[in-house]
Amino acid sequence: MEAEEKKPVLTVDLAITLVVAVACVYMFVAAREFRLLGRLFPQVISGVTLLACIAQAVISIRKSRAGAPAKKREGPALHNHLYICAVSIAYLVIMPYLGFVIASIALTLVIPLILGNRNKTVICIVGVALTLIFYIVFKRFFYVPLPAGILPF
Amino acid sequence: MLAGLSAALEYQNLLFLLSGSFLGLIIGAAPGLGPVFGLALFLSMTFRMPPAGAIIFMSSFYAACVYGGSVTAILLNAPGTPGSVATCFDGYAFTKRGEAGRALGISTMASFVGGVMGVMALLLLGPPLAVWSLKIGPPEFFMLALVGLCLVAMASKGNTVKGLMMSGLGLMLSFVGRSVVTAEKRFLFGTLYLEDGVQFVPVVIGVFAFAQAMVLSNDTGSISGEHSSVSGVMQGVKDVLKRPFTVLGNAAAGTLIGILPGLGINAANFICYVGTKNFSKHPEQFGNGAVEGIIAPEAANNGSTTGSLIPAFGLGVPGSATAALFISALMIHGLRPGHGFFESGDNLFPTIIWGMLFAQLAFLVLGLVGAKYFAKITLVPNSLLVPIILVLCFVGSLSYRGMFEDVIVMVVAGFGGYYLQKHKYPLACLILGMILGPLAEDNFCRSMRMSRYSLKIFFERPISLVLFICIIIAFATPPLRKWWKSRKAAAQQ
Repeated sequence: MEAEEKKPVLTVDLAITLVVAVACVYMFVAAREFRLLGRLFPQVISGVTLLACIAQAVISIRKSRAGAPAKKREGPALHNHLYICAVSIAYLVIMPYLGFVIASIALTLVIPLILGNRNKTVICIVGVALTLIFYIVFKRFFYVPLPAGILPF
Repeated sequence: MLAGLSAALEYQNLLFLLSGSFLGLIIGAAPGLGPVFGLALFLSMTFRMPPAGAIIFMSSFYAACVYGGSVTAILLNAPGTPGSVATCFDGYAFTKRGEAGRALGISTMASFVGGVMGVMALLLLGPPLAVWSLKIGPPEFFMLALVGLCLVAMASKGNTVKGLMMSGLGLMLSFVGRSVVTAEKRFLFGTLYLEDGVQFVPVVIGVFAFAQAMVLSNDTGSISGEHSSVSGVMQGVKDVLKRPFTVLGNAAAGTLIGILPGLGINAANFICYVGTKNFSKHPEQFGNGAVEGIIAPEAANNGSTTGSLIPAFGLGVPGSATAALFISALMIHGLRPGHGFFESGDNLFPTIIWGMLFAQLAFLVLGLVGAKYFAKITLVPNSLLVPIILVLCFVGSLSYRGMFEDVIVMVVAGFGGYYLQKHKYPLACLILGMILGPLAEDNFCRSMRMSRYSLKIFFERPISLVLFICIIIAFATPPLRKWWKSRKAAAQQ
């Protein structure tokens, strides 16, 4: 007889609930040092939300123990959005140093390649053209303070 | 009025109108920019315009900007302005099933009707509504916030626990920062950045636009796939005309909400969306491509844009940053807000009214003609669309206050928003919580100080009491209805 597949109790749903619950506990405790009017709403709302988190945690655990059908693994999809996130964080880190233009050209070249687009000519043209259009429109016309970085403009 | 009409039709004023509409549409469509940014940018340009031309330019810009936010909300699930957040829920559902053109037609027509109703309210009821808005004080605002929170409870029907969690989280986020009433620094984690609180615009950009980019990255192909239709625009117009009560009711509600200083288009589009869903015969269709799900927020937000100008023009009381910019423009041109503004000589007020009406017509035409071209963006491969959305997200967040920390907030909100959406946590409740939190807390605290910490103040003021009774009725009605039906069924048996 095959052993039953163990269903994980710590699902993403439960993890979200735990994160919100921790935030509720923090807010409730940290609000004690404020004056009455300053702590009333934070404590009431965080208290009620904590109760909702506990209820949701119970629901999530019951669902996972009751043998809810296992979800199909996402395969490449699971990696793509994490890569996008990682590239976005790298973009955030390098933009103040390299500047908006260089960082954005790099972003608009790398992401299509990650997502499977192999038409390098289109990627280069679209990436460079869009970056320059955004730069001109937002920096020159709308005076948005885009970082210049190592470029002189 | 006829003299005002001929003045509004002068070629100079028509030029201001068209340029304002065009610029407003572009700025409204870009996430993070919005009407306040645009009006502040172009205010100095209006110095050399004649007074009527300046107000016509600004109001056509404002109306087109608010409408423009719905274009990206529908096509990319990325609201261009916070006033179009609720449009995402059903607008994007239309796009995913290949009916982007129809959704844009619905949005354009509903926005037009909402805007016209707002202008009519300004023309016919401006002075009395301006005076009436003075009767709304902190207790009434607190009750209105409670009404909004009740709508949250109704909006999360079927998903009540998760809805409660999200609205609680939204409220908790709104408590971060320096308290307006007690001036205490709350939950700052030792940073100066959080003194102003968690900003609404970067969170909205993150939760919708950035999260949407992450969703699109999981999908090869394009948003609407092969079965895209960019030609259903007139079908969308007919959809609106077939639902006169829905569109007029939400336009009126949006106008009334706009008149109340401090509520604004953020609250208007959400409250009307959730209210329409709750009173709909088919609430399960909302969020899956319901026509009313686009009509309600779009009619409301355009109604509230002109509604917000009523206390501004009538009393000089700006209910929003945008209204404050309008008052600045009036004063720069030597005009004084107040009763005199409505009855000023040289046909100024009628000219402005006609200009505002033509402004609604201008974005209606631009929107209907341009819709099928806008909708073509849904045919762009996701591999090219995702970087465009990401760059717009970063630029939009940076343009809000010029602070890099806003971009970090946007990324964090986007990451969180992706997983919340994926696991069916209702984001409408999160956003509504963020909007209503400051309104509820600040006005409750002010009411307590006014009444020396007595709760009687909420029941002694007539408008506040009426709102409280409405809340009781709203909660009591569903169980009472259920009880009555079961009694009737038992009696028939």
